[in-house]
Amino acid sequence: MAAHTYNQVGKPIPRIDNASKLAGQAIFAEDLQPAGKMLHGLVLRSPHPHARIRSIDTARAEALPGVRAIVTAQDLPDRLVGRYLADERALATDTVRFVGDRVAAVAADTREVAQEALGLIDVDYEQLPAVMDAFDALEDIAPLLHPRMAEYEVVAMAAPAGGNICSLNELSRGDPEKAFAQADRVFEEVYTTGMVHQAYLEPHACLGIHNPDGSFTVHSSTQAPFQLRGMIADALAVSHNRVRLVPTEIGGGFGGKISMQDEVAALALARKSGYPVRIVMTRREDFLCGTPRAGFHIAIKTGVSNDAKLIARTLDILLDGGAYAHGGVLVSWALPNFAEGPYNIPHLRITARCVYTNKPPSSAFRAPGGPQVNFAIESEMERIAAEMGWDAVDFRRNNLMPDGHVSTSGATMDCVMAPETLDAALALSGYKTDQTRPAPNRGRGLAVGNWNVGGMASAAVVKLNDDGSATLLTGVVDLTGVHTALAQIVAEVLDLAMDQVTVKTLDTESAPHATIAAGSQVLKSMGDAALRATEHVREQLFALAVEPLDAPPSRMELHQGDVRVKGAPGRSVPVTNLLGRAMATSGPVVGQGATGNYKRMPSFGTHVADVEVDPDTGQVQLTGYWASQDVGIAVNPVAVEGQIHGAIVQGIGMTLSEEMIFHDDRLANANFLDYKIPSVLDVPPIETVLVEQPAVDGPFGAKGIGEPPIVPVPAAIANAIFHAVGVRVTSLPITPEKLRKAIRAKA
Amino acid sequence: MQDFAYHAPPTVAEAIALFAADPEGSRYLAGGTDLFLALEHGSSAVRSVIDLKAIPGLDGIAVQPDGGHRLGALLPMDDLMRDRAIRTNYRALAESAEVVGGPPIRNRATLGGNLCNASPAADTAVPLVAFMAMAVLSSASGGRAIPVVRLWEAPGRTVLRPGELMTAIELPPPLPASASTFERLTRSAMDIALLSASAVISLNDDGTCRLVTLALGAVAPTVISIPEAGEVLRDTNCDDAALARVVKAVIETVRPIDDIRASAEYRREMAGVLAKRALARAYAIAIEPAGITR
Amino acid sequence: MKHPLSLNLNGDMAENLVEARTSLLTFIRESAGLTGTKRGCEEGECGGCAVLLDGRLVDSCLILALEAQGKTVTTVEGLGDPHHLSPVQSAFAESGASQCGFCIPGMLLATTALLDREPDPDEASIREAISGNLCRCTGYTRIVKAIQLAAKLKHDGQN
Ligand SMILES: Cc1cc2nc3c(=O)[nH]c(=O)nc-3n(C[C@H](O)[C@H](O)[C@H](O)COP(=O)(O)OP(=O)(O)OC[C@H]3O[C@@H](n4cnc5c(N)ncnc54)[C@H](O)[C@@H]3O)c2cc1C
Ligand code: FES
Ligand code: FES
Repeated sequence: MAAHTYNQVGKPIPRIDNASKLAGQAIFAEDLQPAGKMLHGLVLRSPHPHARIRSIDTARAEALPGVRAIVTAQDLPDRLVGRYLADERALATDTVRFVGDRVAAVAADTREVAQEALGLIDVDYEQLPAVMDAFDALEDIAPLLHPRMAEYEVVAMAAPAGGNICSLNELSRGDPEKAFAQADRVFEEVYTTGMVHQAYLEPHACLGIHNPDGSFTVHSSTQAPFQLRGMIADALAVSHNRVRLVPTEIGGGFGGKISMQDEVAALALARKSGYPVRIVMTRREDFLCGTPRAGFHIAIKTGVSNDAKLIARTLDILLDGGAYAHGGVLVSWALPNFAEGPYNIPHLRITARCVYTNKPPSSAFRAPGGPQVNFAIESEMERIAAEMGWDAVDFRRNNLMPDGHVSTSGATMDCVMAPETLDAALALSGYKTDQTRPAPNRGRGLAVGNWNVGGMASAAVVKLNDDGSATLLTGVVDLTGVHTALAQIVAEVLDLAMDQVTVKTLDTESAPHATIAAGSQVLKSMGDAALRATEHVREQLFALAVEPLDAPPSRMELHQGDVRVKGAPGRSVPVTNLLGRAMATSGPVVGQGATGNYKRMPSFGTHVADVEVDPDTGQVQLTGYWASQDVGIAVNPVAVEGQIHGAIVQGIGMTLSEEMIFHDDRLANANFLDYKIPSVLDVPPIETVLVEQPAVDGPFGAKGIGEPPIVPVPAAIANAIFHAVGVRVTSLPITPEKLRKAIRAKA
Repeated sequence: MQDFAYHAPPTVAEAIALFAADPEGSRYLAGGTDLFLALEHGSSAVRSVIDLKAIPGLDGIAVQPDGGHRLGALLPMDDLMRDRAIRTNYRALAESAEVVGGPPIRNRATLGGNLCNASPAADTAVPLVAFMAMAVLSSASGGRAIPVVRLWEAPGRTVLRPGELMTAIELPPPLPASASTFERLTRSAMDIALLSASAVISLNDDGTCRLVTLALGAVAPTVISIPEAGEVLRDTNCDDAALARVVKAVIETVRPIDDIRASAEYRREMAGVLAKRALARAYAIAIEPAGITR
Repeated sequence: MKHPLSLNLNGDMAENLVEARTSLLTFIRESAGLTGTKRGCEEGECGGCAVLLDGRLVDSCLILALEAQGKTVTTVEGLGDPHHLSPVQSAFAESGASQCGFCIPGMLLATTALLDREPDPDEASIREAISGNLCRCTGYTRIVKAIQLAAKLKHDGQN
């Protein structure tokens, strides 16, 4: 492990927001209560998966006492918006494309009145045939869900390809077909995964205010203040400075709180009624209208040689994008970059198609696409090894990508830690490569996961207060404990104690641009911005100290409130003195730092799962779980471990119990009673080990950690089940019923 | 949710009288863990909610002169599962109460509510049928007691007359040399049963079965009992051949449905598996002298 | 129609007029203004709204406010304020058990109810005690550790 001696970085420092959260004082969006009167908003949502709106009549609802405003698309500019493809509206005009699509909104004195008013809005729908399956969407006879797709503005990354395909992405190298012909054995299989919801505990909520000067303020539980602000302003057809987005505390996001929800509706209601309007989604609404992980259909074909080398592979991936091109397009775009897995395969082609269906728009969920693809890749590694009579660990080791590997996208992969995480997980779990079954129906499985972590443009400001303490101003929200890590970075550089550093999240009006809090990149982007801003402060202090210390800045260091000459502890000057000097000369000390988009960097993890299967019922009990994760440097090991634990348990959910089930074209399990996320009783003891090797860039060598640990979970568990009972279920989730069926088929 | 009137009468008679004032629009409220959602999502208008928790004496456990136990209808699951007498004498009932939701649900959910809600998946209903418990009902025209197994007509529908109130559940005295078991399948730990089974077996002196009852949950419109289990297993050692005959009867009797939790086909197969497990485990405990529940 | 309601909320008398259909959760959050109790599902599934009612852990979203007439309700605000965290809250802070924090008030009350009944719980009891409280962030691992530490801190505090 890397040797580093820091005062704050690398320490398990408790989260700086603990006191407010543990005392129930943190203010989430649904807790907001502006001074004065506030109205309760509710959204009328389409009850049909696909329909044309013939007319909307709000007269009866408007007549209801207590109703203050009703808005429809008529109250908004005629604007299509989108993060990748501009294909959706804040409120529907003539077509609704999923159950839950926003049609109108009501603001009333109480929630009960608003609820009653919703029932009094008469919408005349002409139902259209719905497309509920990604394959059906590809059929020639399939109804076109977005007939005007060709006219949509491509905002970023989307590559619309006609029909219902909102993005088609392909990358290849070598000549896979030729290589398959030359391979000693070729394996083919199809893997499918269900649509799963982020199921954060806090449903979406927002508060919209129309300001006296005509500008807008919106409070929202969002991971993406700046991006959301842009979309809201575009939908309202105002310049971005006219919308002030205030991010609130956020009760979990996992990628599900990036898209726009009811913010524009709330603002339109506020404008029409003259009062602040709060819209709080119910759990059911959040299930219907959230932006879940796309269901995948993955056809995987692999050619191997008799010396246990992967020669060729093709992956043909169909993603269920849902009604609008949200993150599904991003996933489709990113897939070819990570779907080669942790391996070096000379002949490779990865094709991803994201199609429209009449389901909720799918988007980002912790390593979007990662666990789905890894489920296929690592299940195949195990299956191929078994059929070829190879040791599955050796087979993997034989093919892991080397450091400096050039990916299909042409990017050079630095800091490849795949073998190290494999070794660490084997050691941690006591994994024996001669895998004898510990007992009947018990098994152990392993999977190596890869993910690419990056960083997005961000800026930060550090102000020095007159006593030398520091305040970091940032526009990034804290989901993972990243504010604590940012404070550690500032404290480290300025040699301050933790309580001498404050991290303040500002709204989009006052903060410099910040990355979204997603994509395992906050620490990297905002961490680097904060680091640079702090170094900028230090630079200014050193410049101020040149005269009193009579030494060049290169020989100075900060030590507990003093600037001193390295190696000469006697020669020092208090920072407070320097700040006094600054006031008389150059002015207050304020540092700025910024970073641009980073190149993405690979991150690896190896997980081992133990299961016990009840072969008569198909029930799976997880009995142990071990994970090694490549983290660069853990700026805060407690936070890093917490991310790993959380990711594993979400992975367990998508592997064994979670799936959004559609019956009769409608979501049939839009609540926690029917959509089963793991409870504490479903979670085995988890042990983790951090593999630390400073990354080439990123503050102090930190690598992103939020997403990667979910990647290997499904395959590790599926492989353990295979080991236990000798059958493989190729579709997620592996429910008792599916497994029982497979066991019966084999018997 | 429409607003309604709320009453918390102090006596059974007053509760019944309040109900009679508007039989269509009234609902009794026990723990509310089912009723709340029904009020939120239900179709029929509720105008009056009559809270039974202010009536004293409905939430206790009393031993009867014959050794049987009388459980108040308002007894919360958490109290039921912790009661020593119940744990020793009616183990399966304690085990079924233990798995009703999590602690916050079990602190509210009552035994009577579980039965009156008439879900075929109600956990405590299954052992109560196996124990041949009686439900004690009270109405303006007097009281009556009916076997728990005859409480239900269909999912969500009981045989209770409008305004009839369940005051207690009576368990017959525990049988000598007997044991009881409860088994259930779920998709994850905190879930409503996909299906469930409960068996009660008492033994003859020679170790053969004397009396066997078997009940199944969530495999038919109501919780059902399988009389064949008693007929087939009587005087046997609960051997595999006999169990196979019971399993056959189970599979022929059940009428499961498809829903998002499981298919009818899976439930049918599993009904056999759980029935066999419940019976075999009950027999094993009963025959093991140290395990005989007395 | 509104009915007068008064109950003991964290040691203070809380009084107001409420409609019969008002849930205890809505009363606590909107009438009493204590927003630490969270609304995660309103169906009794998540435990975000858990409070102690006369010392017992309950989901306040499934209880009518009027059912709490004259009773004692403890919410997270009643455990300790940010400057005076209770041992249970401190244990969660020290153990890194809170991430987004949304489930935490319910978890703290579940822990309080457990330790009041069983000062020395084993891991199985701990897991059982929070099985009605969902957390999507932490994977529960550190929450279980925090409860073990809380038991210890409470002990130490008493000795
Ligand atoms: C999150 C959650 C998890 C759950 N998990 C389970 C589970 O695992 N297993 C399970 O079996 N159930 C489960 N349930 C369902 C429910 O908790 C139980 O059915 C409970 O026992 C109902 O009792 P109650 O006192 O809350 O009934 P209430 O909701 O008060 O009443 C239910 C119905 O019975 C009527 N009623 C109640 N008492 C009487 C009486 N004495 N006389 C006449 N009528 C009466 C009411 O009018 C109402 O129609 C769960 C519920 C929730 C919300
Ligand atoms: S809000 Fe009450 S249990 Fe979820
Ligand atoms: S900490 Fe976020 S739900 Fe538990």
